[in-house]
Amino acid sequence: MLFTQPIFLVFFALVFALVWKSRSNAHRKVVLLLASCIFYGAWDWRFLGLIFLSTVIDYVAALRMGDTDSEALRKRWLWLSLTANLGLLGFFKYFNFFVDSASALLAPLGMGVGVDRALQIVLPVGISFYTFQTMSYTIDVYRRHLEPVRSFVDFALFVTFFPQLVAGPIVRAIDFLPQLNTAPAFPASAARRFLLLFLSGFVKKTCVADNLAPHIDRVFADPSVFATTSVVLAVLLYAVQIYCDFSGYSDMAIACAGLLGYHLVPNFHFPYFAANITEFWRRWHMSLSTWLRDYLYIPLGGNRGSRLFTYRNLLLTMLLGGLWHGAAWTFVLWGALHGLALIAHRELRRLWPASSFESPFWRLAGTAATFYFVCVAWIFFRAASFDQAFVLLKAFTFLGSPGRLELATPLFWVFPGLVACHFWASRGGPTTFFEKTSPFVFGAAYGLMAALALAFVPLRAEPFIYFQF
Amino acid sequence: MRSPQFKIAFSGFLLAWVLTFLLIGHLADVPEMGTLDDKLRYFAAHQDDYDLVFVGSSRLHRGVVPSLFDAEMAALGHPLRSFNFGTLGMQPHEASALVRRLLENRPARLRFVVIEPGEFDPELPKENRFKKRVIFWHDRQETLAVWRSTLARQDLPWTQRADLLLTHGLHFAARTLALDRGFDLLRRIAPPVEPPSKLAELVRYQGFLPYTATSYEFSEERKTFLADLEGYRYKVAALATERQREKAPPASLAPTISAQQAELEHFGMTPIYLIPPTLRDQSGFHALHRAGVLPRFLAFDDPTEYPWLYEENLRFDPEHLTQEGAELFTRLLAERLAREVF
Repeated sequence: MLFTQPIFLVFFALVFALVWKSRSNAHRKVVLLLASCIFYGAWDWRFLGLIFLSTVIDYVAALRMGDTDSEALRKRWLWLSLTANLGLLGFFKYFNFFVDSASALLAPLGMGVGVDRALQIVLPVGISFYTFQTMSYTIDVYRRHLEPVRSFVDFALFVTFFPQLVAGPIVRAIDFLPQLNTAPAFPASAARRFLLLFLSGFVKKTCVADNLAPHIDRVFADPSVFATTSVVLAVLLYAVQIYCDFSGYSDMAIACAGLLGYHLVPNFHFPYFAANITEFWRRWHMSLSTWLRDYLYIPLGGNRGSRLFTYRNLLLTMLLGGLWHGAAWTFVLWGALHGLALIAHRELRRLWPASSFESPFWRLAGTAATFYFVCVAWIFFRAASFDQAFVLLKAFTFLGSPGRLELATPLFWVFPGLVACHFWASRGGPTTFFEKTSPFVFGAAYGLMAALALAFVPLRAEPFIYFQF
Repeated sequence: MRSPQFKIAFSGFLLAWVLTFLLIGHLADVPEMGTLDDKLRYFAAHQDDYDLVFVGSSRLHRGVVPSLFDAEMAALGHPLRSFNFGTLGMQPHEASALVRRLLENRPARLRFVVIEPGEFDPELPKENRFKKRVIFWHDRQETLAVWRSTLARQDLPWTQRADLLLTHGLHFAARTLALDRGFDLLRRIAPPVEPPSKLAELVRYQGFLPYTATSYEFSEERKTFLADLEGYRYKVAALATERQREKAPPASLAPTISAQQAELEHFGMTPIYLIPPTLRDQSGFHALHRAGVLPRFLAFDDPTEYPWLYEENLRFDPEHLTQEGAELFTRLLAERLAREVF
């Protein structure tokens, strides 16, 4: 069930009505939990058991940690939780990757890995997201940042809450669980903002990302037959596609949660306007980058040691961050590129003070350079293989593509048009108008925009890119 | 939630939403549907130039040569200009909706509509669902007609009928809500420049599609046909035998066909039903003709009466004629039309 499908709109309308008609907070939470199970089960009912296994393990582990003062015991329960979560993630997502990689490594030595790659493992939707979410809970309980939650319904709802279940934002227990203690009031003053956020997400996902997808797919499928200009355009448009796809989904998730009375953290803040790579990672997939910072980078030692030690931690964090995105070496390389870029930026700041680069000229230059680098890295993120990636890289860096095929001319105007819209949105866009106008005008404007958005929905439904993670 | 503010906002939303999608549907260009939208666009610009249209499947698309037809009709004392709307895979419901669309624009000269009849089958293969061409024919009348066809299919399990009713309903909703029509609207505002070759082809062939040398060389259907000529001959012989039998017309077909004729006559058209030289069982339509339901009915699916149209060297594949076969068929068609209808 995608957020952009009519069936979801019917589902959400029903859930919205039931939730706001609930007699008590307990009743409301049960309704949301059941709705979340139905939502997840609609993807694949077989994996409901898996998500509940993960939920039960972490619920029990956290309770046991809370019931004892023994550090050894607490650590044991934490390790159980982490092992279970990472074990499940490792098996479902990385088993074939590890087998293939080991096989490739040992093959030159004449030692093939004897495991027949016959395991057709189906990747449970959202496993990368909910395992990170539950790990953050048990880690926070271990660190005594959070008391273990006694109510299984509350914990299960935290794990399975449908707006963010399958593709984030990655929610922290410390942010979400307190919201379940009392029934929220209907967000009358914020309802317009959430409705607009949903529509904006819908437009980004269906009207922009889904319409760009076929053109980009054509080029990435066989870049060598396309001319350099078209390959460059396809890479730029992929940067747009992945942003619109992912941020669009996040917007819809945050809006749905908001309309139900729950606050989810923002996940994107105009990342392509970042003036450097460090700022980019403070604006892109913020729930993941802060998770990696708090649960990987800092425990590894963070920047509390020598420069080289800090850079090691940074690189390791980004390598694992890349691997989190996908079970392929291209994703690891993508992570490595970002890790190296972050290290390079730190060195740059160490050698030249930040004040040297505050002028509008340097900010603009930095933004362009950062965007260019991010696009280069996206090539590895999107390419099916290193061979394909290098063909694309060669064209993107103007060393040329041998092909002659060109994408349709109107597409060359899409990129600057979208940049202009994005800039307008970053300056507030039409928000003020919509928040201050009369109810009838707001409703009519919303109706007009919704109808126009539907007119640009391609009838073939493209799954969200981040669902594969 | 039921506050006055919400009700006011919701009424504004509903009003604007409905008006917008109605406007988009009205203003948007014809959706891209392969050759069909090219023909629709071309015909819309030249609709007052034609007296007769052929509507049907690829059997007509590849089988009727309008320029030759016009010349033959003129020689027989009935000068007219025809256009071939035959399209690969056209089904009867689509044909009905297409004709309705053509006639709603009130073309000044158009008087005759030659339709290839078919079973009004409500089944919709999964691979075709929600394609633009399928959505396009789901106007209000055709959706009601296909719902009636579905309910009439007592041979289908109720679950399948329910699925078809829902599917066709969703197609109607998609058409009404102007889903995926945004780029068609943009094309209306900024029409793309059509390649000259495309327009020239439409003008030259008036909708007919000849087979090219590449078709003869690479078509899988042709290769299969040539590899099994014995099978083809057997089917032709079986058809010849079948054509001698008189069958009762299927009960569900008569009302639908009659309604179609009535609609065409309401627009001032003369509907003519044409069965090309096919191997498919069209006995139901022969029966309807014998029962007087199809007064203007020209059938060429009798290998005994038209052996030349079933000769292997005039066939591209079992269902389609070569250029030479199409020219022969067109001449025979003109002759019968002039004799029996005009």
